[in-house]
Formats: sequence, structure tokens, C-alpha cells
Amino acid sequence: MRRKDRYPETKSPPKTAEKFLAWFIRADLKEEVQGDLLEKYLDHRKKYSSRKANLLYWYQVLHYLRPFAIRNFYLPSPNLYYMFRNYLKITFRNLNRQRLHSLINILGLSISLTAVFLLLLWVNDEWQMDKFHANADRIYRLKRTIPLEGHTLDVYRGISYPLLEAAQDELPEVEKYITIGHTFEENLQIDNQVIRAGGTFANASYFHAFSFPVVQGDITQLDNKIDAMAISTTLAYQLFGEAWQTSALGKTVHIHDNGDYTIEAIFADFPSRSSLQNDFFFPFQAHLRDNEWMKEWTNNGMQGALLLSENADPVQVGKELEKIFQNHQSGDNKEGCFLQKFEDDYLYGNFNAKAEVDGGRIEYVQMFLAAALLLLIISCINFVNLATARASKRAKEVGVRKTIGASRKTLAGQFITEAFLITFLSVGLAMIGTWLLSPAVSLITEKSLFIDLSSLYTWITLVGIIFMTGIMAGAYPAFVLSSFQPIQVLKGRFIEKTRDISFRRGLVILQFTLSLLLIVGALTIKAQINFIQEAHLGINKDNLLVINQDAEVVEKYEVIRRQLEGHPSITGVTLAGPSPLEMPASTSGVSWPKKRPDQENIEFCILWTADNFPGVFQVPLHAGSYYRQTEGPDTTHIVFNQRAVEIMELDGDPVGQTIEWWGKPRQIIGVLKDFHNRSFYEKIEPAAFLLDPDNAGSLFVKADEGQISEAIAGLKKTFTEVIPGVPLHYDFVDEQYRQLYKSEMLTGKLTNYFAIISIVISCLGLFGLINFVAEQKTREIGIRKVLGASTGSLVTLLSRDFIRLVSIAFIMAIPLSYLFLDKWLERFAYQVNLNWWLIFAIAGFSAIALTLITISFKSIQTATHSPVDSLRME
Amino acid sequence: MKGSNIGEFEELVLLCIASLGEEAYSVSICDELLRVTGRKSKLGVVHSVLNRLNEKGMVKSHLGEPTQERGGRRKRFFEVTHAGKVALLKVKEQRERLWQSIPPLIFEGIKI
Repeated sequence: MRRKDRYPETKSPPKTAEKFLAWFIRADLKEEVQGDLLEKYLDHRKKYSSRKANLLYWYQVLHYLRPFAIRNFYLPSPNLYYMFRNYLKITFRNLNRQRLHSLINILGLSISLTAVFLLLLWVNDEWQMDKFHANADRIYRLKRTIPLEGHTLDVYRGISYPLLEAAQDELPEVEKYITIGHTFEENLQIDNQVIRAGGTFANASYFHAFSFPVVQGDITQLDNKIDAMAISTTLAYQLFGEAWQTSALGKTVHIHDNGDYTIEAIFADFPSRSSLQNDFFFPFQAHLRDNEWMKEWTNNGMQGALLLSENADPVQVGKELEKIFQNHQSGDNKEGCFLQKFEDDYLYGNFNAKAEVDGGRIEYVQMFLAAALLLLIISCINFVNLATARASKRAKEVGVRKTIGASRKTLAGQFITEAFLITFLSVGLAMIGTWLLSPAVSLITEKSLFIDLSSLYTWITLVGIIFMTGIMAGAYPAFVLSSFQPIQVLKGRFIEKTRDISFRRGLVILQFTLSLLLIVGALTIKAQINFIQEAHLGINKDNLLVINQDAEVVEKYEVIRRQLEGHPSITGVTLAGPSPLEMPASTSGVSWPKKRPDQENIEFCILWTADNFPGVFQVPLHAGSYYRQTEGPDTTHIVFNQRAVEIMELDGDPVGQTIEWWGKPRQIIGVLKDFHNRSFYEKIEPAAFLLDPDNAGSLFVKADEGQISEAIAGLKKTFTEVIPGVPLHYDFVDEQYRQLYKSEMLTGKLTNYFAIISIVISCLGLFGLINFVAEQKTREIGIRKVLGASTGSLVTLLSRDFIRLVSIAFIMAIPLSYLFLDKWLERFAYQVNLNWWLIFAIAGFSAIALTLITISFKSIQTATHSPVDSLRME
Repeated sequence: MKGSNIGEFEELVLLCIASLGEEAYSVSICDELLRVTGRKSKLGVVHSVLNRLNEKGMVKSHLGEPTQERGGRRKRFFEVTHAGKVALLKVKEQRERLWQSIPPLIFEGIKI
């Protein structure tokens, strides 16, 4: 029943109109106007129907919408300044009074903000890679697609030189083509000084298109003179000393295995934000001269990019280029090509089966951004929890303020201001922390990270973070604290609403769930990385030194080998190349009886070897035997790995059968057992092993266990004796292998740190909470003790709640983490067989253990506290 | 002389207040206006005029006792101040002078 029907004599005007009036009317007019209108209304009700009276009431109300009667919505008040000063004062007083609590708050926030800043610096650096080129929006990388079985496409960076040339000649939108070579290390010699540096070949367009400034000389000579050379300022300094500016140009440098070149230009060092890093360049034409095979359309021995004209459409150009490319191919299953923006290659380097961008480094960027957000959330949760838990302490203050006239909004404003001030402090501390830690982090991540205070973006980000954190941390507490009713509070009858307590509990659970997720994640990643590192690859990479090929080494190989093998610490010497663990070279020029048309483009990896390859690398033979030493390369026999034989589906014993290799028949004399020849992300590829030590790229020396330094000494001795002109430079094969997984290792390290930081922050929060609870319950505990409770039961009383929360968090974290991590592991073709139960057990156990440690101190202290003291407080 | 000019409506309102004596508040003023001039003015309008008169110093007000009919809200009573009375008299005098100088012949035969 409506109120009007129950009490028919109560006539009241339409509620909405009343509310509207009350809202807009000026405060000092409110009372009389409401009274007047009510009188009029009742008058009308006597004379007219209620509907007409209502209408008339509305009429009157609307006519009060006059300038003089509308309240002042805009509050300029000079009071704002004084209020703010008051807030500051109160905030600092509070911080001072509750030292421990404040410390926990600020510490927690600062730690996570430091982590967030460092992360953002890393993300920014990754994001800015290759974006500094002035022509960045016109430079496109040329990429090649190969159709494989089942309509899938494989994407490669390697393209053929004729295609680049054709692009510039035949397509008007292409201004220039840029040759991009693989950077390799070489020994550069001038007079008697030998410096090792990294560089490659290039044409002059490289410097015209990319923004690599030339400091001295004329870079166009790279195209004009076949023996021209360009070096970086660092290299110039290394070779010519302080006076390089006057003495470097025009000098002749000898590149081992390559020839003599004259320095025609010096360029500034490549910035760290460039994915291309080179210290010297020799002309592309020179490389072409020495590698005639690169002129063929079917050979894809280099990478390249195109500088397009303004307003050119890369998709269109790509299609036309593909037409040209395919015109020069024969048969079905033709390869294709397309253009990708040069700067995108770094972050978006992965392609799916349809040759569409499918991620790459960008996934790591996204992952770390998410992690940063997670950390921020965890510490904001801390803040919120502690603030609302301690609400009762501020209750009286709120009551008094409300009594003297503070509105709820004003109070909320005060508490948000407090949150902002604390955030501000924390940000300040975090900046200091970041400044201190950035050198270390730069080292781990191999970047140069530092806060650029001169950049506008830095300040925008900072303000944004302060804002976000302040709101996240301050909104809920402000809401809760400002809702206290002064009467209840001042009378002392302050009871927390159940809703608020449950919310707090929920937050703790959330916090611990997130932390547990991170811990489980860290453990899993670590397990996978260990698995990769320790896994049985099928090939032995320990105690193995690799020395890059030099023409002289190959010439005097026999002599070197005999000498080294005579050394007691050296167990084997061989030649192999390009790299047994990566096998970058491949060919599709293989033919076998059962070859199907859709297998047209299957690539077989190639390794050029010496006859003792299996022995030194400890790769067992699956069938047949390996090569016997011959004069020059063996072109009548061939050895494959198991996978290759699988693909070829040969009937019966593969040994003795004949297949076609590069157009000529060869007999299979052996099959090696499979070993991992690509990264752990991919399956083992089919591979062929040729006997051709002259073309094998590197010298491998295997040392005895624990005898590496002796082996190196012996190596040095041999080199100085046999080939004095060649400086020795060696690497460790297992080190090189580890480098392949740099990103994973970085991820693993960072996840470890995150997990630790997040659990520390969560425990900090827990510590604050239990401190508070203990304080609240001091009298209760005192009474219980007097009545005879044991210490154990008291400890349980305090901790029971928290342990229960952490357990719930654990139960929730299990399925979530399983989901995420399963997905992450999918990218590895070979996953570690995770003992999930073990990982969950460790994570859960450590979480509970840490929780116990955190609470134990305070709870035991409170439980053993003398009840006399606590009860005396009355 | 400055600020002592009052508009036609303001004058009417002032006269009403004066005639109502003790009981002059916004609702009664409104009713009186209606009774004498036949104009149905809205409370908001009258209130606005009262506000202006107050600012000009012609009218002063005080709050009365809360009554049940108004839901416990108090009324604001208005009184004409000395300045207001002076202004009214001045206007009246001006009108009279003008009327006197008009020959009665002009208004012969017109009925209202």
C-alpha cells in the first residue's frame, strides 16, 4: 500500500519535484521556499484534483530556476588551500604516530614501484628498437615464404640478390635496395696490430636509407671502389689511437681471409637501440665477387630491405615483387615474398602457418607489462587492506569532522589526498631505488637503462602512475572511512560492517593467489630452462672449443691436428661447419624415389664435416658408417640423420641406397642418430652430413674433463708455432648454446625476482594486518589468559584466520597457474615432464611457511604477553 | 535618487506588502496581487522581486515560527523599510502631478 493510501490526510507534493528543488535551490533559501511551495500545494489540493495540484507544483518549482535562487555549484573557496595544508599536516602526523604501519605501507609501495619502473624502462627500450631511423616508415624488410606440406607457409629472412636488384630496377616505387648481411667476427690488421671486430658487407644505400651518420669520408665509395671500407669511430680509435681523426682515412686494413681494404669513410657507432650492430663494412660488390653463387635466383644467402618512395603501398609493392620473383621460378609450389616494416621485425618476428605475424619478442613485452601491473595491484591491495583494517583508529577523527560540518565528499577527498601523498613519497623513493638498481639491471638485460628526466614521456608516465596508484590505493579506503556515522562513532559503538571485513579477506586471498601464481610460474620456467640446458641433446657440447675458420687454418689443418692430438689434455680435433647445434645452412635440392610433389620444398640441413665428426661430437651411428678420409670432398657418398631417412621413406635398409643430391647421385653410407640441430622450440630437422673439411667453417677442439686451461695453452702454442700470422680466438660451444636461450633465461631470472618481490610484499601486508589484529585483541587475549587459555590456543586464535585465507588462495591458484603455464610450455616442442604435484607442493608449502613465519613472531609475542599489562589499560 | 527607481511590478509588490502589514510573506503577497490586479504570478517570480527589493534596501525580512502546515518550515515575513516608503510616496507624487496636468476631457466616456 502506498503511504498516501494508508494515511490519506498526508498530502505531499511529487517527490521528484521536491528532490529536484532541494538539489538546485540555494541553501539559505531552501527552507522558506520549500515551505511556501508546500503551503501553495496544500491550498491547491483543496481546490483542485491532486493531479492538477501536482502539475502546478512542478510549474512553481521550475519557475524557481532563476539566477538568484540557484546554489553555487562551483566551489572556488580559498579554503581549499588551507584545507590542503591541514590534510598534509594530519597525514604527516599520522605517519609519524603509526611508524611501523607507515613504514610497511611505504616500503611495500616503494619496492613494487621500483620494480614497475625498471620494467617500464625495459619495455620502453624494447619498444623503441629500430624506431629512430628518419625514414623508418619507408624502409621495409623483404621476407620470403616457402610453401610446405599441408598448405602451411614458412617465413624466412633470407632472400636472393637478384630479387633485390630487380625490385629497384623494375618497380618505380622502390627507390633503393639495401643489402643486409649477417654480422660475423673478423680479425682486422693494420701494421702489426690486430683487432677483432664484428661487421659485414653493405652497399652505400645502407647509410642513405638508415640513419647511421657518417662522420668522415665519403660513404658512396662503398659502391664505387671494390676495395673501399667503412669503419666505426670506436674501431678507428682501437686501430689508430687518439689521433684517428687525422690518421685513419685512406689507410689500408687487412681483413683476414678476405683481403686488403682502404678506409674511405668513418661512421658513428651504431646506437644501442639498433638491432643491426656493425663496426665495419666492406663493399657488397666485393662479397658478390667472392661468392658468385649469390647471383642465382635460387640462392638466398643474404637479407635485404627496400626504401620505398613516399605514399608507396607496401602490400602492393610486395605483390608485384612476388610476381617478378615467381616468374623466375619453375615448377609448382613456388616461393613467395612480402614486405614487412623494418622496425616491426624486432618485436613481431614470428609468423604462423599462414605467414601472418604471430608474436615474437612482443610477447615478452606484454608479459612483463602484465607482471608490472600485477605487482602494482598486489601492493595497492596491501595499502587498501591496512587502511581499512585500521579504520577504527581513524573513526573518532571522522566523527568529529563530520560533526563540525564536513561532507562525505570532503572526507573522501581527505583520504584520497592522504593516499596520494603516500604514493608521492613512495614514488620518490622508487625513483631513488631505480637509479641505484638500473646499472645492475642494465647488465642483466644487456641494455642501457636509465630514467630520462628530460623526456616529456617520462613525466607523463610518472604522473600517470602516481594517479593510477593513488586512486587504486585510496578509493576504497576513502569510501569506507567517510561513511562512518558520527553518532555511532563518537558514542564508541563502532562495529565494522561484515561486508567490509569480507572484502578485506577477499583482498588477502587475491594477493596471495597472485603471489602463488608467480611462484609457480617461476618454478616452472626454471625447470624448463634447466631441462633445456641439461637435456641430452644427442650431441656432446661440453669441454668443446670452437675456433673460427681461417684460410690458413684449413691449409695447415693436418699439421695442426696432429700437433693438437698429441697434447695430453686434448681428446679430439675436427672441422665442422656452419654450426652443428644450429645448422643454419639448408637445401631443398634433394631427391629420392618416393618424393612427392608436396615435399618439393622440404629443407635438409647441411653440415660440412671432417671424417672424425661423430667421434669428437660423440654422435652415435644408427646404421652404416661415416666417411673415410679422401683427397678433397667426397661427392659420391652421403650420410643422413634418422629424421631425414624417415622423411624419405626408403624401403628396407637405407645404407647402400642411392638418392640424388644437388642433381648428382650419391650413395648413403651411414645414418647418424638424431640430435637437436635447431632450438628447443622446434623439432629435429632432417639433416645431411658431407665430407668436405675445406668448406667446414670452424675448428673444434675437445678437451679432457677439467683440463680446459691446459688445452687452451696447448692450442695457443700450436697456433703460434704453425700459423703465427693468425691470432687465436676461441669460444666455448656450451656457452654459445646457452646464448640461444637468452630470452628464456632472462624471463626466468625476472620471474624469480617478481615472485620474490610479490611474496615479500604480500607478507608485509600480512604482517601489518596481524599486527593490527593483535593490537585489537590485546584485552581479549589478556582475559583469556587469566581464565586459563594455553599459549598454543592463543596463537591458533590469532593465526587461524590468516592460514585459512592463504589456503584458499592456494587452492584457487592451482588451476589458474596450471592453465597459464601449460600454454607457455606449448611453445616448446620438447617440454620438460613436469612433476606438477611437486611444484604445487613446493609453492604451497613455501607460501604457508612464510605466512607462519610472518605471523608467528607477533602472535607468540602477544600470546606470551603478561595479561596484567594488557588489562591494566582500562 | 540613485537606485530609488522601482519598476512597475516592484511597486505593486511593495504596495501589497504595505497593505498586508504583519502577514506579508511570499504566499500572501502572491494572493493579494492576484486579488487586486488579477495577475497570477508564480512564487518564483515574486520571490525574485522580493530579493531585488531587499538588495535595493526597500524591504527587510525576518524569519517567523515554524508551522505544522508547512512541514515544520519557517516563514519569511517582509516589511517595507523607510527607504521603500519614501520611494513609494515619491512615485505616488509623480503620478499625481502628471495626472493633474492632463485635461479631464481626454478620459471622458471611457469605462474600465
